[in-house]
Amino acid sequence: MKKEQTISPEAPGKPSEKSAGFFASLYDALNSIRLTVFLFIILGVVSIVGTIIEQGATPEKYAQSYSEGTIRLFNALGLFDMYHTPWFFGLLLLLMLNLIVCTIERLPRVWRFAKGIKPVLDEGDEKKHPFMETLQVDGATEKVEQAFRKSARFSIWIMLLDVTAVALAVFFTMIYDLNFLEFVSFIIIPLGYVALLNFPGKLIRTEREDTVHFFLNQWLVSRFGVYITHVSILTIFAGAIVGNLFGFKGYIAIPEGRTDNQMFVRQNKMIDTVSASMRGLFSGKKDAPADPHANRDSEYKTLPFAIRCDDFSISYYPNTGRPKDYTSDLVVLRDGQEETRKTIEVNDPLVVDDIYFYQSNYGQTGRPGLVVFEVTAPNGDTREYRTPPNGKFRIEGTATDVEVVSFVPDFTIVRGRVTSRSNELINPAVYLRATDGGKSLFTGWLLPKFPEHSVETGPYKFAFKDYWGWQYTGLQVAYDPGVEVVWIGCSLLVVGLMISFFHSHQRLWARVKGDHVVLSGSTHKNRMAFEKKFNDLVQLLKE
Amino acid sequence: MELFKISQTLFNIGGIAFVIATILYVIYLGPRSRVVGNGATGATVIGVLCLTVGMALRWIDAGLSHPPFTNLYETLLFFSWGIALVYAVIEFKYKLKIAGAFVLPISLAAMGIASLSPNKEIEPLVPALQSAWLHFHVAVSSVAYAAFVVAFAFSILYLLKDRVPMEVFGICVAVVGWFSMSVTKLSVLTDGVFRMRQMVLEHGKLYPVFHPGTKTPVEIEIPDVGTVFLIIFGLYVLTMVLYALYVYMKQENLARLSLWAMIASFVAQSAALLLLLQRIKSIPQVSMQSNPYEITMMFISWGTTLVFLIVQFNYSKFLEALPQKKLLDNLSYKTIMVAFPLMTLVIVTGAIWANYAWGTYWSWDPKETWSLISWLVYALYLHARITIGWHGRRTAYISIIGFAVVLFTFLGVNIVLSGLHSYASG
Repeated sequence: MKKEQTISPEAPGKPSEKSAGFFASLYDALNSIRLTVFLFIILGVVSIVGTIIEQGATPEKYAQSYSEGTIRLFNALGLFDMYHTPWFFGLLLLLMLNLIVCTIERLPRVWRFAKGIKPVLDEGDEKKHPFMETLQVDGATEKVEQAFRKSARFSIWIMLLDVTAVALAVFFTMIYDLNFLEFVSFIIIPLGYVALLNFPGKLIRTEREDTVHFFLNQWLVSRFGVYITHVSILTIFAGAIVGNLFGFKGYIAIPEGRTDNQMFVRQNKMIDTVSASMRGLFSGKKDAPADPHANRDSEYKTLPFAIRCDDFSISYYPNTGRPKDYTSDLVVLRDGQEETRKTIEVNDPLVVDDIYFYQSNYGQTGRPGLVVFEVTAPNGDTREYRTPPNGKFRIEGTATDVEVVSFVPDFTIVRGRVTSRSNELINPAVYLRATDGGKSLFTGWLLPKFPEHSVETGPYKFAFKDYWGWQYTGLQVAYDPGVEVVWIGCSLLVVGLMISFFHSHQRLWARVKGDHVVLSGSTHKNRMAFEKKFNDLVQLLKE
Repeated sequence: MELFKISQTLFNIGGIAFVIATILYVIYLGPRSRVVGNGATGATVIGVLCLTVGMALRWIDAGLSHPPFTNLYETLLFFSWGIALVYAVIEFKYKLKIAGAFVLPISLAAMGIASLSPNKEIEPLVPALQSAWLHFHVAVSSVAYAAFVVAFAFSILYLLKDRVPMEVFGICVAVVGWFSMSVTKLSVLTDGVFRMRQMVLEHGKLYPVFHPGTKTPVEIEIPDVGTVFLIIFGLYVLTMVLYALYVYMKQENLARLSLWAMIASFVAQSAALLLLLQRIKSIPQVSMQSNPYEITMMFISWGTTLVFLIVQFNYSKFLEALPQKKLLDNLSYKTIMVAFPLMTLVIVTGAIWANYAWGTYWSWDPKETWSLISWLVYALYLHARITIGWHGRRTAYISIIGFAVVLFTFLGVNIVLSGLHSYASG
């Protein structure tokens, strides 16, 4: 290790010789790896604190857990919203500066090193490299060239990987609707890495007088992987800043059948309103979400268009109460004109003017809705009827009046009394009373999920459609102009790390003079693997 | 349904294979017989194959869009599989069987905890989990976390080979044991009673029962277990104190005493586990699923104590059998080099999923934050190693801390802290 250290161009930079002046010493401080280590530790520790103290909870909740003095102290330190405090941001900023300075300091050195690599192995050069071997081989030139080519050739595995990668890329592009920057992040950059796997480096043959030099320079880019990584982290950071400065996160709750363009936004844009309202939905708890209006730093914002919710519905897996999907039929209205409509679900948002609307939660408005039926008359004529509970309708073209006496969303019988087990449309039931010209036709419970227990509905066929207008859909609204920048950064980050850690810059030289071969090699990482490769090469030449 | 049964049988065979592999690897620590070593490797390979085919069948049974790693049971199986697979690859590459005794038990533990789960059926996916990004996220995380487990094992082996005294390990084991128990059942210390949540069967699935109108679960007292727990807590503290005194005073008697305290604690833990299993069987209102994490933690602590005792009794032979220090150090480093980009990919895919599910790629929820913390620890490891040039003990310690953080991210966050990942708790 030590030996490789001393010849490595990535070695830590020495402090500039006369660090006079404030800026020079500041620069030295920012250039130090010790600062990096320190920042990693500090960021880790304060992050732990942030997970122990609940973030962004209500004052009442804090009052339960902490004493008044503690609350005042924590509040002053910003520990209740720690990840958005200036000092936390300052730590991140310091890490970024550290990263920038270290990159500026080291990248040119690696660049010069890369430029200075000689494709020939001059007399005595072999002693500079950690691996060396001298051989006598018949027909050396051809054999060495063959052996080197074999070393550089790509394998069947790489080809398989190519095919898989391209297939995946095509598939992915076809099923997802990616915009340009997403396409670059999720398709182009990963494919770029696959391309690198195919061409890790080339073989250079140089003839000088009576000697032939071979040089195989593989994965030189691995030395730059760390800078790709650093730049990508800066990119992510930049994207996050753009998002926080110019984007917003909001929430809008629209009852079925209503239109709204007032979105509720937190003033501190770094905070998202998600977590609180989301928890209910994702943990499967059925209670209504925390009222977002309870937050103090909030305001309303008017969208340049309005959204109407035509319907919200939950589908369940058969025979269980487990939700399968939450969907909302949304309509975008601009100046009163219908512009687009989309049925959104979790993982599939609506996008208008780069503003995303995500299915977030739902709840009951507290107002009664309308029971929606489709009634098929004996002559096959099918019509839809809507009525509130306790309401009545007449089946058109007949003298039949249908009264909806009562409605329960989740029918069950407890101790002989009908009641609703939950506020979900899991097992809806309608108590109907139908009369035909004054005389009773039928009376009883209509149970769409259990037709065998349902009331006989005379000559008509009743299909329960919905209980409409009593629920609202809760939409998370997000506008983040920085998100694609973050994706580019993420993609580069992973690829940069793979380039630096899955590969190492390996160099192999051979100097052939008649039958006399001098082999030399060097690797910047993963000595064990290279040693094996070098020995295999020697073995191959000896045969 | 047939496929499901076949896959369950395969999981059982895989579990037995891992048990055999673990036993053989431990035996291999002593006499380094070729037959035993090959048997261990063979059993591992058979186990991995069984799990692979079993999970594939389960996947086919559940439908293409529902991969077999979406609830705790499946995830544990998947991680068990990942750990064994990563280990098998490394063993094959470096012809190094000695680490098996340290890696396979972890894989077996995951398998064992999974098999305790009463809920082995394929569960329908709740809407938030219906995302390709998420499936990718979990798949990669299995490999990444498995690699960290292997790196952790190499780091421990390095420290052993580097002759870090066994007392230090003794203290660590006692602390880990104490901590893992107290994290879940500190209440035993205050009132001496072990309670489990009452469960009720609904729609073929077990749900916890809550006090009406509250979010406080109804808990049932489990007789006698609390007392045994108190004894275990006491013995752990005793072990810690005795070992600490030994390190300070260097009296052989103390070392012997502390070893006995550890053995006693192991016996008490085995008794507690058996007692608890028996009680769970006999009390119909509670099940293994009532307190899955507590039982997990008990197994972790039990297993750690067992491995410590085995190594302690076989110390000199064991040291001899270990490969060179430098190789262990390098292997740990290399494994982390592979795991780190993968772990980054895990975080990134998680962020992408979060963004398409609810419009924010990072919300600092505890799971995310802890994954970032483990990322920072390993980033620290790599910078310390590559740029500063640290190696040996110092980096081994970082790797161990990293593993602890990863373990906490995977399980601890769900037990101790709440967050968006709460669906993974059952």
